[in-house]
Amino acid sequence: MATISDTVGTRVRHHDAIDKVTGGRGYPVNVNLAGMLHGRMLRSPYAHARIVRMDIDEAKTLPGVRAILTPDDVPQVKYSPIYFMPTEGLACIQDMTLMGRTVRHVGQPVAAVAADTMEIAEQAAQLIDVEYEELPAVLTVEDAMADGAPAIHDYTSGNVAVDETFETGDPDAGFAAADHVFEQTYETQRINVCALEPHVCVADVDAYGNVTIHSSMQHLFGLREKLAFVLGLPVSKVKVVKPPYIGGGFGGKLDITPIEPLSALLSMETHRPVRMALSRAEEFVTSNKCPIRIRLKTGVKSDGTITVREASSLLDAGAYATHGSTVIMVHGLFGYCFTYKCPNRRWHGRSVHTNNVTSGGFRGYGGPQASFGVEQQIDEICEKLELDPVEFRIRNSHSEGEDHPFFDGTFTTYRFHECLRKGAERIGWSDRTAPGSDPGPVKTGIGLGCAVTWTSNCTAQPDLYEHSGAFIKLNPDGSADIASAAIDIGCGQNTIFCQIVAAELGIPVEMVRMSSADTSNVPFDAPMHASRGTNAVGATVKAAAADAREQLFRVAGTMLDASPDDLDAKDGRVFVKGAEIVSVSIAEVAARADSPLVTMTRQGPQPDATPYRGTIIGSAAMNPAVSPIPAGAMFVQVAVNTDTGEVRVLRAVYAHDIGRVINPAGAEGQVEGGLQQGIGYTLMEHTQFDPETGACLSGDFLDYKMPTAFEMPAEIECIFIESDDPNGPFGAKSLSECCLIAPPGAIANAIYNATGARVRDLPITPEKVLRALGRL
Amino acid sequence: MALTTLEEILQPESVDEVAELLLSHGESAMVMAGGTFIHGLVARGLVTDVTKLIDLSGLGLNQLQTDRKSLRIGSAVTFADLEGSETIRSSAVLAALVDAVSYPPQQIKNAATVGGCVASACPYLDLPIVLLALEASATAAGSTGKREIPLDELFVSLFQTSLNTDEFITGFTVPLPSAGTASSFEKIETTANDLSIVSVAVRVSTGWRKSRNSRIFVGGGIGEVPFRCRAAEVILDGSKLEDEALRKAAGAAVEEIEPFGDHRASAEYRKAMTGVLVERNLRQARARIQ
Amino acid sequence: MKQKVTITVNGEPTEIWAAPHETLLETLRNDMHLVGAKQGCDTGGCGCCTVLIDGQSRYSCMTYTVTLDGRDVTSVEGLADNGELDAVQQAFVDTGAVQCGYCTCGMIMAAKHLLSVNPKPTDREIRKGLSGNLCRCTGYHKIVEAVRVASGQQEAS
Repeated sequence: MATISDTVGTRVRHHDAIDKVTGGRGYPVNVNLAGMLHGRMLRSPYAHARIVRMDIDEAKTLPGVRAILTPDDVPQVKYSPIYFMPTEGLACIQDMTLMGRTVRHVGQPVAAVAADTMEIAEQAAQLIDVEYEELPAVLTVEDAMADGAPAIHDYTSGNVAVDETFETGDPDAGFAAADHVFEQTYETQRINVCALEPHVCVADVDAYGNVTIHSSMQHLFGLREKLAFVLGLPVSKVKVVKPPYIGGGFGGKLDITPIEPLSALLSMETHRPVRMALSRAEEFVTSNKCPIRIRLKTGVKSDGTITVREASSLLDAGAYATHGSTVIMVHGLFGYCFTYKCPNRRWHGRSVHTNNVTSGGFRGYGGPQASFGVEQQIDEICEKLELDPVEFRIRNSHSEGEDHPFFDGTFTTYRFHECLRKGAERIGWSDRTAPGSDPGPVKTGIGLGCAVTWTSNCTAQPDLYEHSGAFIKLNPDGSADIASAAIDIGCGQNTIFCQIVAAELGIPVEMVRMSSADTSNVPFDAPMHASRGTNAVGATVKAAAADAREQLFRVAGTMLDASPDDLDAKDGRVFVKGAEIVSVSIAEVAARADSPLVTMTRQGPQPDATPYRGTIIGSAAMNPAVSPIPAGAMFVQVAVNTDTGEVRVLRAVYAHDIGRVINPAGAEGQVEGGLQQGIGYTLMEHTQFDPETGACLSGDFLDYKMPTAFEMPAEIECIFIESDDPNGPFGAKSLSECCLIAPPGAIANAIYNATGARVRDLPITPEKVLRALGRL
Repeated sequence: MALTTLEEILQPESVDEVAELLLSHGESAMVMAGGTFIHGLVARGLVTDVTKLIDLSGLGLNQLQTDRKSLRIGSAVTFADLEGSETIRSSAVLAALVDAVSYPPQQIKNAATVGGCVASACPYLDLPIVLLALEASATAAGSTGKREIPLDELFVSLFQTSLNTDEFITGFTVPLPSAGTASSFEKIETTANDLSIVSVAVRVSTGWRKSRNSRIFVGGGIGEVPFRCRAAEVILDGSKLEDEALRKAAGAAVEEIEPFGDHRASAEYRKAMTGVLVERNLRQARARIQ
Repeated sequence: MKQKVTITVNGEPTEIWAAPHETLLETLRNDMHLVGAKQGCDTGGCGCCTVLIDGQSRYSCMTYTVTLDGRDVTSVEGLADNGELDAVQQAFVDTGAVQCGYCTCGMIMAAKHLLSVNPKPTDREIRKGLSGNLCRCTGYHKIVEAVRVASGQQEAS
């Protein structure tokens, strides 16, 4: 597909790359304010307990300690920490307290200290004497749902936080019509987000009680709303400063953690800025992907037509409902139901409280957990019925132009089948051999996994934020500044927005900058999550740029003596369409708009002919009408050592219907990074806890393994099937999450194709491979 | 978290000075070479009462010396030093040393020392079993002088050595048997930056065309201290190192070892992998015999 | 009790008073405001804090400052010459190897060491040489490419 102007569709270098390779000063972790104190928390060693008594006398006397907070000193208001769910929202379970008197998992904060240094704060925290009354703890979903299990919260029955069903058509008739019924259980584990920049914030409360906060997070306005709610302040008293960029988000920074309100309260107490940061060990008890067990029952005709799809999903939410209560819905409706079409569907999902750490958001938000099961079961069906897995998926999936199965609208652009065919061709699908056919102990195999229909706004929940806002300001030198609350969490969003604005205004991309912002000076924006950046924020900055362009042409029209309707712009100049020689530079136009109306000359005051004065500013605040639907197919080749069970991914081909690619290098980065997280998720990552005590066993990178460069395949091929979606900016759809949803099923299927070993629970460790092969 | 109890890092310039410092400070002092292990312990809250660290980097113990009969490794020699030594790289006898130090990431190779790796008595580390297989001895210096400790007498239990409180390791002596001897090390890990799940080091020798004096050690979290596969060694000794003997030895190793399981791998997996690694290492060592 | 050491940091001899438990990472970030080395784990597991000590890559979070008297430390801030990026830095920019960027400075320092001892590394050697540095965004693909480009074995795409 052709590029638009010289920017959209080109490998524009990331705008912050030079900053990041020379030191990267823009991260929240670097915020350092004069007089700043350091805060640390004391955490519970018990999975379930009541605080009976706390003694802070000894801690208080430590030199350098400035303030100590216990549950008595913090608001005991209940809230949901999720940024994208307004506190007053409908589907929001409010069961969390900043520091409650009951602890529900190992590592829950029970006290906080501010001191001159981090070391003193830590020492003081350890000097706080807490007397606990231990309560019976439940650490598995089964135990939590058993008769007579201790209640973790008083609002649930049997510790079930969410219990939802969804049904279409007539599932029973679907089973009656099936020639074969397949039923299997697939299980996914708890993994950690592992953004390399830990959660960190600096809160500064001024003499009027205004809170200013810097934080490594994915949503400016979410933090403002949650922080104000927890502290009992109007939102106008809280200002959240946008970081130039953060050190990774991946869904792990989509909720308020204890450090933001605690540092604000400590700042109020001490009248000094207070910084709090999580250690890596603390991260492992803070941001973990929801573990889900899914039982799939699928009816199929002998020709490969699905007659019914039924599933039941059980999610371990951990101590508090939060993301678990929304992940279970997204997992069921989109991760499970949506992928393959079938008139008859039934899904039952439950999110269950345990005394494990609280489950959270992570790229894919319930999708990878579903696709791991769905994609494997399809291959199991195909093997039994001797059908080709690619053709089976094509037969049972949606096509372009079809009606959306749940909501109004159609699949405007949708090239899923092309993704499957192109990917199959590139990986050499037709040369695929039977499981275990390689001679020798190291066996190779090819597998396929898909991720479809995944983008923000698909859920259509009334209380889910989706809108964006942006300002575009033109400067007298012909450059443009974007002001937006959308945060660059590492995917290159700032660069993409600059490309879109540059294309819309007809200026070089180097002339567009993302400027600073805080919640007081830019419009609301939904979180940077759910693969929505390019599509939803991109559409908004494009609309704001279009607004600026309209004003640009109005001023330029007076300078060129032409109607604004007859103007166009490119390469930094506004020109008359059809007569490009009649032109003026955008710099001159912007300067004219900023200049005085009357210029003093020797001949006296000279009024300017251009009546329009005032800086050219474009703005937009809008909700995307529709979220266009992307699709992707991942093919991998693996080698399995059947002596040791070790698996290596040798090669990956990922074909994705992305709409138009705004920045190919950035898009490839999403695929490559998603594959890395997918390999980690599928083969090795696991946040583990002691089954007796609930204490974390994998609290650092020695015990928690994620892939290094050495475990990654040398060959990763990205195929972008481009389409021009009418609902995206310049036709762009979305990408990020699909890149992690597709790999688990693909890798598991490839392991099977290599060896004949089917492993249905993650991670597929060497040990599980050997067991499945009957060699252990 | 920082070791806030730390009052001072002492930087002695002689071995005697270290021994004196250890004697006078007792349990409140700890020696430090590359520092990588100590930082790991501190970060996990496993060192809390230490007030003095004694830095061994200024003692000149970073020398590698060889004569016809032995290799002498100073305790402050780093993994990178070992890996870069032409003498060691070209020796079949010592090949397992290079095998072992090739695993860690470069930043660890540049800092971690042979002495620190051994003296930490951490069962997940790799060099201890290599030095055991090579029949090395450690030189310990203390307030009453020096003594040689055969390595198989050094490891007592988890993080515990037989060193006295006032003693520290100044170096190692690795005997260099005559031609016909080779060693090998291999481990199973999850990523290229991991502690061992199981690790095996072997040394084999042939004389009069028959194998003798073999050594097979297993480490990597199979127990509190390294395990010597004596039954497997017996099978090997007197054999011609033919495939069948190697397979039998591996089978015997699996029989005699009783590893523990933890969250990183089960006992069954470690047991099975002991067999795989013993056989692989024996093949590798056999191939290396000149 | 603070101890005094003199360390050459990015070419400048610097007198530093450090508490005995203070790490080089803390000295660089907190005392010298050189924030290129990042804190990612504090246990030598992520590589974000990598700097060169006497030309060798080291985890600055695992190095006590007071043990470095007379040594030479290079952080990422010491690479660019009068605003001109070092070849490795430039290659990271050109290949799109920077996403969130939190690992980048450590990754660049690890690559600097690798190329100093092995100017034309193979892909396998690059991957092994960077195995002490974690990245969560990129899949390392373009990072490996950047090192190939910096070593003159490939043109930037």
